[in-house]
Amino acid sequence: MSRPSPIAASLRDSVHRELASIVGHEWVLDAPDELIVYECDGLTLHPRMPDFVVFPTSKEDVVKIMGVSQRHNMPFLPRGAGTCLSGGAIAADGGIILEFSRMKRILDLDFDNRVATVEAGVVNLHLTQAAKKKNFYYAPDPSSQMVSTIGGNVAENSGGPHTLKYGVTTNHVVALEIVLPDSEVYDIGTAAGDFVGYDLVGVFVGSEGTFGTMTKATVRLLYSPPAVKTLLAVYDSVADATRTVSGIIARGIVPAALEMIDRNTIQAIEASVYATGIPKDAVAVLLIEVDGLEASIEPQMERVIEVIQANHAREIRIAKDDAERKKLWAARKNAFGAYGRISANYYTMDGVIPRSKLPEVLADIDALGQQYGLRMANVFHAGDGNLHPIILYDASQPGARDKVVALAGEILRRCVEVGGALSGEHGIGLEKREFMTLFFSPRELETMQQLKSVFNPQNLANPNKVFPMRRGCGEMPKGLLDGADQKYKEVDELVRF
Amino acid sequence: MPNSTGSTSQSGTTSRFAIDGLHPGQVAAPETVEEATALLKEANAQNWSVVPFGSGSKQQVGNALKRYDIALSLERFDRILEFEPQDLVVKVQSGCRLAALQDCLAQHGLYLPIDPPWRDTATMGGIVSAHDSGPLRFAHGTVRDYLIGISLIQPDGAWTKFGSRVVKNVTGYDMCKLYTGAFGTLGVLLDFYFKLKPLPPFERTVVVKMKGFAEAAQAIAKLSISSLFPSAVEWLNPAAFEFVNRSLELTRGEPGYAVVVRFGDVENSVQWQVEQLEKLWNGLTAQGVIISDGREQSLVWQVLREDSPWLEGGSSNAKLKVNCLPSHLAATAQRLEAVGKVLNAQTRLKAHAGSGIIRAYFSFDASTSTAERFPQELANLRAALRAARGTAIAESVPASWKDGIDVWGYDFKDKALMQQIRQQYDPCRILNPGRFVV
Ligand SMILES: Cc1cc2nc3c(=O)[nH]c(=O)nc-3n(C[C@H](O)[C@H](O)[C@H](O)COP(=O)(O)OP(=O)(O)OC[C@H]3O[C@@H](n4cnc5c(N)ncnc54)[C@H](O)[C@@H]3O)c2cc1C
Repeated sequence: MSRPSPIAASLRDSVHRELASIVGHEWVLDAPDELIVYECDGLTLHPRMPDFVVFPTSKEDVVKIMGVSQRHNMPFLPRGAGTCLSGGAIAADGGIILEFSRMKRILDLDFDNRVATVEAGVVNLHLTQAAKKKNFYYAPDPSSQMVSTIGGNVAENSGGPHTLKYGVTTNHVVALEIVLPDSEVYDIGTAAGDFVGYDLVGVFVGSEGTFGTMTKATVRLLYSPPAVKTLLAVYDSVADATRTVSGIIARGIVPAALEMIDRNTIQAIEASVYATGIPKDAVAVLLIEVDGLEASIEPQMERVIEVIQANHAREIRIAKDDAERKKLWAARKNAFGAYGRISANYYTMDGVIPRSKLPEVLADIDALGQQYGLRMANVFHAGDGNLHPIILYDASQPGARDKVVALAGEILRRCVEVGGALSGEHGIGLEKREFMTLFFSPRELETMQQLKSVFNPQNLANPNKVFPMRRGCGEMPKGLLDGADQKYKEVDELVRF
Repeated sequence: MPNSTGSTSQSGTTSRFAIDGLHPGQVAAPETVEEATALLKEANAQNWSVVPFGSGSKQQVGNALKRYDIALSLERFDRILEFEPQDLVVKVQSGCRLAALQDCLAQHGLYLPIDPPWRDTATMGGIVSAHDSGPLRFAHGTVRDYLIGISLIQPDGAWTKFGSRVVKNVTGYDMCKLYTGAFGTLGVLLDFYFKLKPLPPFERTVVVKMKGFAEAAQAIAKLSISSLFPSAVEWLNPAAFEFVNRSLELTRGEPGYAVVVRFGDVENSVQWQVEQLEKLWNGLTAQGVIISDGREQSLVWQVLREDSPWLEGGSSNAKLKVNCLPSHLAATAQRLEAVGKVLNAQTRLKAHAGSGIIRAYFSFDASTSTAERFPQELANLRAALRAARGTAIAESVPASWKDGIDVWGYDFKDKALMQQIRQQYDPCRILNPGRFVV
């Protein structure tokens, strides 16, 4: 149910006044030209402007803002850098966006206990940079880590290339300070040994902003592995590359990272400023990293190389030094940005499958792309079975959007069929909510909603996310965003930062 | 009392299922999901209380049960349902014992990298529900970090599944976390998907008696900010070390504070780390041994991991699990030794040093000890731990003491949220009533 927007002028005035009394006038936005920046996150298929954007500086501010939301029964959502790719940071129902760019202090780097306490708006990479002075780092490294915030990472339970070996966000968060929509503040979890009672941190992580606002997080720091080796393996066939992936895992080797880059992505990268000299006619490339102690690196590398060779790689290139390694990673982490060069528009998907199914599912995706007459690219966390098929298209072509949406739906269905799931790391948000019935029974959806109702009983926190809007369960969704109440809007670039 | 539901067996004795001296009205050991579902539906309709039962190894943990109508034994849900060695994933039923699972995985060079006590008897359902862990948590975390899919019967009998066999998944909320550590109060867990790791190819264990208390604390602090990657770091007080030494004879002379470190990796790396450790701890150690024999190593870790042998010796025995900041470990240990003195109890302390978890075993001798002061000492300890959000759980106490203490002693504000969660899923409190979040 969409709220009428724009909201009545009298309501706007009183809410504005109340918000301004908390943070000051200059930190409340409500003019359309200011709000437009907030009409979407990394998912631009589904824009909606909030009514207000407000910039708290403290937990106390957040508590008071919750009061405003309560008094006017106005929905709200917390927002970090807005890089979410599933529409989680879009004000689907209007209301107030709390943007955390003024809460980005690193409060404590406690190396003795191997934890750091940070405010919600701290940028992921900044934490690692700060911890570096003692040789520690924060392990979860989403490709958006240069801008995405710990608040957003916690809400999405983000992963990254190195989560293959080190785990995703939830494996690294020990305690949170949260403000619930009723203005109550809770400390949950602990850095002191084990939690007691239910694992509230465990369920808050990954709740996509639908439980309430996290203001502070205590996360683990790891000691940086003293030695790292990175290599590129170049292939003439996708099947050989995927067989290498399964082969490495099946041999019980868990590299720090195991990423796959396909032909279209290679071409996009090589045409961009991140070009690293990957042969442009390569069909697939694996980016493999092993880390640990100096003494453990060589034996790992040897075994990895054996598997690569057994699977007919045409070339293996080992990064000579840190500079070369950084260059390889820059290419990988900025791949999304590079698609702009080879396609007018693109849509980044996220699905996850058992890793042993990679060869067959990648082939299926390829066939589906051809069937729909759409070009696809793929750059993804192969070691985790976490696919990111990218659909390249031209939105100015009539009907292109519908085709994209239908193709994406088919791909997701395929992932679920082989025992996989709807999302490995980008979340459900608005994008995939109608697909939840593919994966969950009505009762299972209800069970999750019961949990939400404990934290967010009036459904003011980030409403209309995660759960299907359509009644009549068991119906098959036709495509992504099916059931959405907004009109698509053409936007040129899907990722903006 | 309930009459027959599912495949209910009244033939056997109920004594195997007694908890703190309380016997269940009936024991049910369903064989199929349908039977288990029917049982829960009936229990919910009749308001019978149900205690999901694995091997019973941790049933004494918790406050006294309010009522105990049915012991729902999962002994027939003991199979490994799917094992995909090439995916490093296994699906196993909750009644399967950890030992059986590990033996099967080991044949493929894999393991679930957890080592909670009761290795040979504990079932997967019990380990998940108690969120139990052992020394390996230093490097590998706990069962929480490996559980990727779950199926359970809700208190009203609905069978639900969350997560799946993929290792990375954010499809909906992370419900696996909700059921981990919930002590069987939110549902009857039936089966799990776990992700796995390859077994380390080479291992060494270093047992070091430190010069004194301060040196032991320093050794831990140095290790935790070093570039070494041990898989476990255990700290022992002299009484605990003496207990370990008694069966294994690792060092000679007076018992002292000791640290036991485990390394697992490729051979080069382990050898190098052992050498580095000697350098790192130069000047702090009194005596050290490097154990390379596989059998001997596993004996050491068995003693360190297990619980029950440590709870013997007195006319009554109690165990606290104390959660503190790792940096407060030494101070907290000192406090626990002082508690032992007040109680006139023999006090053995072993700690997962890097994780801030101390297991304190008190043995009371009826003639000399002052066990009646236990509740007050526990209250004082809890008050001291509170500032850093630390806790002390009375994991094992004589049943008769449970009237006078709260086993969990958790009274932070978020307890209210936990109670609301309980209310959502088990409004009639048919699962483990009174025991955990009430
Ligand atoms: C180029 C690119 C690469 C990416 N690579 C990866 C990747 O490798 N791995 C990965 O997992 N994701 C990736 N993402 C997705 C995205 O970056 C992550 O989901 C990230 O965690 C979002 O952080 P953010 O600060 O931008 O949050 P936002 O997009 O602002 O918000 C995301 C969600 O978090 C909620 N939220 C934000 N702050 C809080 C808070 N303080 N309290 C409660 N809820 C809050 C919001 O309500 C929203 O639902 C990528 C995105 C882009 C654009």
